[in-house]
Amino acid sequence: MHRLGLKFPDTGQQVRSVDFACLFIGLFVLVAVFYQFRLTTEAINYWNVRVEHLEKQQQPKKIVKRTRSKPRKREISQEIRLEIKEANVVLRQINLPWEALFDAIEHAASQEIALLSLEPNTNNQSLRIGGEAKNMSVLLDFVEAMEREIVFVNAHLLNYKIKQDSPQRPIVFVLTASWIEVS
Amino acid sequence: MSPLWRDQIHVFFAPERVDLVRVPRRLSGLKQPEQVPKTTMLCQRDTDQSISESPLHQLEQMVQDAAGAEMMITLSNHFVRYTTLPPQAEISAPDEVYAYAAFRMREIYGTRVDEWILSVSAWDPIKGAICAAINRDLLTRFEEMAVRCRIKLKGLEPYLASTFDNWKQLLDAPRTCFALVETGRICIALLASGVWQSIRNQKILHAVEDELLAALDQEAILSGYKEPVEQVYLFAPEHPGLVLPQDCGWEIVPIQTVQLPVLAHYPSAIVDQGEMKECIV
Repeated sequence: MHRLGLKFPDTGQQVRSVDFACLFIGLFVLVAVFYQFRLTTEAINYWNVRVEHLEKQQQPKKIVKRTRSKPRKREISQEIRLEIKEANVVLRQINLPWEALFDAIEHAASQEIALLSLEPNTNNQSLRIGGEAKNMSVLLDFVEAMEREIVFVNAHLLNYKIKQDSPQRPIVFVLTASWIEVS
Repeated sequence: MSPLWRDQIHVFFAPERVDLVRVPRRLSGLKQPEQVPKTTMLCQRDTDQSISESPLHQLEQMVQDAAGAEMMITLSNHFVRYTTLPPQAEISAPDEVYAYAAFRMREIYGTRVDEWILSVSAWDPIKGAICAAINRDLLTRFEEMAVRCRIKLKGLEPYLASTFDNWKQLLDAPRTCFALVETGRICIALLASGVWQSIRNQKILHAVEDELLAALDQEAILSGYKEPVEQVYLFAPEHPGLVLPQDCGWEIVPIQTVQLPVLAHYPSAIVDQGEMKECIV
């Protein structure tokens, strides 16, 4: 039963339908807000749990990375350095002035000198030459001739050995010389 | 002044008495407002004047020092005329409701309605409503007095409407008969399934018990239905000893005032002569 609400001066008839409409709109808004609040809360909880989970997952990985990543990097850098070194070596070998060296050696050598090996060392630009000479005087002439070549400097006889078992008694020798780049 | 700071004055306004309760309001206090005792002033009517003249004069004296307060007046049924507005499914707009109420009033009270102002309860096309009317001059006098005393007049409320709204939970029954008895007047309202059947508002010319019983019987006859023993909710604070004869066909159900107490400014039987003052205009 409703209040009578009789009063002078009269406050007028209330439009009940408008009241109910406002009430229902208010209730609807309230429910919508509550529903949205619930959804938002659930989303926040979901993402909180997910973030925590991800953080937990990332923490051991970080430890592993810390323990492994540096050696890996070191290994990688060492490998690269080695590769670079090798590449540099190859480049230096490629860039050797083979033509000038061979020309100088051929010019210094005579028919009584047999060249058996050439070992260039690009690090210190030295050339190790192994061969056989007919006799000692021929060998010394070859060393002097090498010394005279413009391309070579510091030509030295490292060692020699007379082959006693051979009837011509040849001399096996190893000499070294440094080359200089002649433009 | 903020309403939170205003004192609240509640008045029961009847031809022969004015009951006033002033409730101080303080913004700082969320505690129960302090209530001062009720002041009751009895008035003697001069036959040459209208019944409202003496209590109006008395009320103005009582509220002389109440500037800034808010005042709500409960009007005795002596000053109010009622009628029921039976349900009309076609009527829904407020203008139609007021036209319907004016028509019903004019049908009963004739051209006297021209001097009245109406108030209609919340209209329901299924259950109808009730309409109350008071003299326009009476409202004007109250408004003028409020201006003079610098009081904010919240409004005037008929005694029947005030008591019914106060105890509407108790009166919510399939069939309700509510009798409101005050000095010199009986008001009987009859409801069936929430629909107002009738409102009788009549003077008491003889013994209260006899008049009440006669009025109840007449209402039962007019409604066309009566139980062998019909219950009537009775509120007669000025007649605490009022009872109906045994086997009269009516059983008085006292209003339970424990949960819903009687409003302080409602009239009551005067037992302490100290609180009563007499006024002769």
